[in-house]
Amino acid sequence: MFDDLRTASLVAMIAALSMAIAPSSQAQDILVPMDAVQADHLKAYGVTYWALTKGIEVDWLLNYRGGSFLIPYDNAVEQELRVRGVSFERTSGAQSAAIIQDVESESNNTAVVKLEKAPRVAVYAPEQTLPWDDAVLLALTFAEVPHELIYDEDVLDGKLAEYDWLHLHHEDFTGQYGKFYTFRSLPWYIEQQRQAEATARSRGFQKVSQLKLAVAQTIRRYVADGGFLFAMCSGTDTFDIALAAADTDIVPQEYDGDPIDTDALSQLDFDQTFAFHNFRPIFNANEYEHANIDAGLPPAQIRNPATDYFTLFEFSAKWDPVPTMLTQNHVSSVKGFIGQTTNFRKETVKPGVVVLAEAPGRNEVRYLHGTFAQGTFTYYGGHDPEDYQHYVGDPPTDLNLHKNSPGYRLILNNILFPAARKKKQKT
Amino acid sequence: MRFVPRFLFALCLTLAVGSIQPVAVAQTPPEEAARFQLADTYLRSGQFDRAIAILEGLYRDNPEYAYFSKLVSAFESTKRYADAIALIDARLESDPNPVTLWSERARLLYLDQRPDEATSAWENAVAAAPDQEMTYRLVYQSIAGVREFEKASALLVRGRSTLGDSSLFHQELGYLYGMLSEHGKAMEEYLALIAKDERQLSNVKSRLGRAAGQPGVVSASVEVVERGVKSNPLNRSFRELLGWLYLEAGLYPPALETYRAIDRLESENGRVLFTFAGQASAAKAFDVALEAYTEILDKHGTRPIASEALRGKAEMHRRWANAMNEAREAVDKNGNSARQHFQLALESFEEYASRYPSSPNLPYVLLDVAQLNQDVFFRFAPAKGTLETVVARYPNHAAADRAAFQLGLLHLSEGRLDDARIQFSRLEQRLRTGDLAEQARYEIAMIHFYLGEFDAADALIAALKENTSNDTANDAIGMRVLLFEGRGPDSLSTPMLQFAHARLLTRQRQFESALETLRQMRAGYAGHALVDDALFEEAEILVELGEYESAFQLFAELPLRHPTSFLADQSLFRAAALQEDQLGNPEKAIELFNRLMTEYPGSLLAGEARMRIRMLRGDNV
Repeated sequence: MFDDLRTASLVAMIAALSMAIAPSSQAQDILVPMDAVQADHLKAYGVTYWALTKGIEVDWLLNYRGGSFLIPYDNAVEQELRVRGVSFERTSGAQSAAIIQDVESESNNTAVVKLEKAPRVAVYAPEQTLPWDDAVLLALTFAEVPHELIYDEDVLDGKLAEYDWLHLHHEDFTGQYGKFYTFRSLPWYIEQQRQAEATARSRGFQKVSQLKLAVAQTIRRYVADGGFLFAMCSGTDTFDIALAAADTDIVPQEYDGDPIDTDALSQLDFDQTFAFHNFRPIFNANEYEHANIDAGLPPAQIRNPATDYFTLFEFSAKWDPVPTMLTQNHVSSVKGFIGQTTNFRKETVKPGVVVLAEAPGRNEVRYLHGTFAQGTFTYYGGHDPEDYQHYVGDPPTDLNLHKNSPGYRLILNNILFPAARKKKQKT
Repeated sequence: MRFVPRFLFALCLTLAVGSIQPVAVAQTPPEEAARFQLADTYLRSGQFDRAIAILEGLYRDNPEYAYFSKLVSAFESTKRYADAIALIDARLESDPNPVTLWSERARLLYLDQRPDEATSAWENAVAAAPDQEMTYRLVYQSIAGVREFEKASALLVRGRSTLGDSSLFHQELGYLYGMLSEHGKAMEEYLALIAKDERQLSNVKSRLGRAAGQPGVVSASVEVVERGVKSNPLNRSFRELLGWLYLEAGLYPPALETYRAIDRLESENGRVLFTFAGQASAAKAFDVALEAYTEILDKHGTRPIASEALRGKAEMHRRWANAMNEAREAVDKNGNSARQHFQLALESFEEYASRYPSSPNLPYVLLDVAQLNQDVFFRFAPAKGTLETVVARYPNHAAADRAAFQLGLLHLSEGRLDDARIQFSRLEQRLRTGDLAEQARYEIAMIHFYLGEFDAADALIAALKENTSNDTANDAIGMRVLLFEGRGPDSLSTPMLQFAHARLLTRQRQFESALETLRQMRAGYAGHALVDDALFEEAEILVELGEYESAFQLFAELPLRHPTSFLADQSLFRAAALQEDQLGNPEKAIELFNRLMTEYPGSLLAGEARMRIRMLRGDNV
C-alpha cells in the first residue's frame, strides 16, 4: 500500500505542477476554461447551471478557449467548482475586461452570450429500467443538472408546460417498441409492451402507435409554443416518422396486430415533421431500422472507434449565436459512435434545417438544428458518445472515465442554450 | 368431423403450391392448384387486388376451407375487414360447429376497431359449444391474439366454472396473469400446475426466473407459495420453489427454514443444507450460514458431509472476519477480542485437521491453520511447525510451495534473514515463473534492502518492475524510487540504512523500536530526502498502535514541513480521513479535504477528497 501510494504520488505531483496556479487575491471573476486544460468539461456545465440556479448570471464566451464561462467571483461558486473538480482561474477586474474586450472584438469569431436563468429540464423516459443506457440521463446525472422524468401520461396531461427543455433519447414514437422484435420474449420487453398497452387503453387508444402519435403531436405543439426539444438516437427519426404517418398505419402486424396500410407511403404527410422529409419507413418487423432517414452503419473500412469521426461546423459567433452555442467544444472533430439511428441521410433533411455536424465525405448529417414556430429542435445521431457500439444488456458508461468527452459536451451545450438571454439578431 | 377433410384439402393445396409432393398435386385439380399458386405468388409480392380476384373466383367455384381461409387472410392484409367478415357470415350459415368462425369474426371486428361487436362475437363463439374445453381454448387464443389479456383470463375462469373443473387452464392463466403483472395470481396457477405434475417445477422456475428481476414478482410469489407449503407441507416441489424464491429475494433466514425442512422430510442427511450454507456464505448471510453448518455438524456428524461442512464453516468464519475487517484491531470498542471469527476459523480448521487426518484436503487445511497463526495471531512457533509439516509430508503438493514461502516470511518476522533468503532463493529457483516466484524474488530484494545492500536490492528490483503483468511490479516501482532518492549523504547511506532497519522492525511488529529508529534518523539527518518518508512511516505505525491523535498530528505536520514532498497530499488525506473515521470530527475533515484540493489540486487523491466532502456535507451523490 505504502509503495503504491508513493508511485501514485509521483504521478500526482507531475500533474499538479502542470496545472496553472491562479492568482489568489483580488479576484473579480472566475473563468472556467473549456479548452484542453479543463479537468472536467461535463461537470463544468453542471456548476454553471448551479450558479444560474443561485441567481448568478454567467457569461458564455463562445469560441473563446473552447466555449469558456465567466462567472462573477463568489466564494460559494469557487467552493463548488473545487468540490466538483472543475478547473477554474480567478481573474481580476482588468483581466476580465480584457477577456470580454477580446471576445467582443469584431476581428475575432467569438461572442459573449449572457446566461440568465436555469432552464427547467424534463427528460422523456419511462420509469422502467431498460437494458441499455440513456446518454442524456447519464450526462445530466453526471453533470448534476437537476431534471425530472416525464413520460406519456405526463405529456398528455399537459405537464410539458412546466418545462423549458425536453430531452429524448432512445425512444420509439412509432409504437414499434424500438423494433426489438427479437427480444420479445424477454421480461423487459414484455413489461415495456404491457405498460405501453395499459397506458394506451387507459387513454382510449386501441393501439400503442396511436398513443405515441398523440404524445408526439403534443410535443410538437410544445415546441411550436416555444419549447426546446433535444433528441438523440432513435428519438430523432421516430419522432418525425410518427408525425408524418399520422393519417396512416405504418406499423407491421407483429407490433400492433394488424397489417400496414397498403397505401401508407402515399399517405405520409411531411408537412407535419420537424427535420426530415421524403423518407420511406421500413415495414419489415425484423429489420432493426425505422426508415431510410438513418444512413445505417458506417462503411466497413472505417467502422472502428479509431477511425470513425464526425466534424463540427464553425459558425459566426456574432451572427449565428445559436448554432455556435450548440457546437461549442474543445475539439472540432468528434469520435463517432453508432446507434439505432446514427447519421441522417442528407437527402432526407429538410431545407432550412441547420447542419451542425456531418460525417465527412459521406453525405450524412450527424447533428442538426432547426426552428419550428416559436421553438427549436436539435437532433443528434448515435446512442452513446463514449461507447462506440452499445448493445442491449451492455453496462452503462461510467462518465467518471470520460470527463472530457466532446461527444457528451454536445448534449450539455443544449441545456444552457435555453438559458441564454434573447437579443435581437444583427442585421 | 368436417375439420378433417378441410384440413386434408388445405394440406394438399399447400403441398401443391410448394411443389414438394407430386402425389398430393394429383388430388387437387391441376387448374385450381395453378390458380391458387398464382394467387399465393401475388399475395407474397404484395399484389393483393390480383390475388383477391383469383381467390374469390376459386372460392366461388369450390367453397373449400383453404380458399376461404386464404381469402379472409388476403382481405385482412388489405384491411378490408368488412369483406372478410361478410365472407365469414356467409360461411357461418352452413357451419354446424362455428366456434372457430365466430372467434375469427370477433378478431376481425376488433381489428376493425369495433371492440363491442367483437366482444359479442366472442360470446357467440362460446355459446356455440359452451360445454367443451376446446371452445374456451380457441376463444382464449383469439382474444389473447389481440392482447386483451384481461378478457382472455376472465373467459378461462368462466370456462372452469362452466365445465365444473377447477384443474383446467393453469398454464394458460399463469401466463395471462403474468402478462397482466398480477404475479400473485400467476403463482397460484403455477402452484396448482405443480401440484398436478411435479415435473412442471423446472418449467415454472424458468418462467419465473426470466421475470424475477421485475419489481414485485418475487415478493408477490413468495406469499402465495408460503400458503401453498402450509396447506401441502409434504410437497417437496412447493418447498423447493419457496426456497428458491427466498434466495431470489435475499431472504436467508426463511430460506434456511425451508431447506432444513426439505433436508429432513426427504432424508437428505445434510446435503441440501450444505448447498444452502454455501450460498448463504457467498451472499454474506454469515449468521444463517453458520446455523446451517452447525446443524449439519450436530445432526450428521458421522456422515461424509460433515467434513466438508466443517471446512465450509471455517472458511465462512474467515470470510466473516475479513468482511468485518477484524485484522485491523485486536480488541473492539468494548474491550472484547475483535478477532473472534478468525479465532473460530482457526479452531474449525484445527478440528478438521485432527478429525480427518487422511483427507486429501488436509495440506490446504494445514496451510490455512499456519497462515492464520502467522498472519493474524502472530503465533510464530505453531505456525512454523505446521508449515514444516506441510513441506515435509506433501513435497509435491501445491500447498507445499505456498508453505515454503510462508516459512520464508516467518524467518523474516523472527529476524533470521539468512534463513529467509535461503528459503526464498530455493523456492524461486524451483518455480522460476509465476506469481509465487516473483514474490519470492521481491522478498529477496527486500532482504538486501533491510541489510543495507542497496545496489543488490536495486538490481533485483529493476528486473522485477519490468514485468508489469505481475502484482509485485507496483511495489517494485515504489522501492526503486525510494532507493534512488534515499542515497547519501555519506557513502553508507546511513539515513536509508536506518530507514530500512525501521521498515524491518515494523514488519517484525517491533513498533516501539521502529518508532525510535525513525525518530533518531529524523533527528540526525533533518535535511535528508527520506525525512518525509520517515515522518509518514511513523504516523502509519501510530495508526497501527491505535494512537490516532498522535498519528493525526504527524500526518498534519508533514505537508507543513515538507510542502513539496510527494507524500504531502497523501499525508493530508490520511489526516482528514482520521478526523472523519477515527476522531469523529467531520468539520475538521472537510477543512482538511478542502486544503488538499486547494493546495494539491492535481493530486490523485483529489477525486476521493471531493467525494468525501460531498458525502460529509450530505450531497446526493
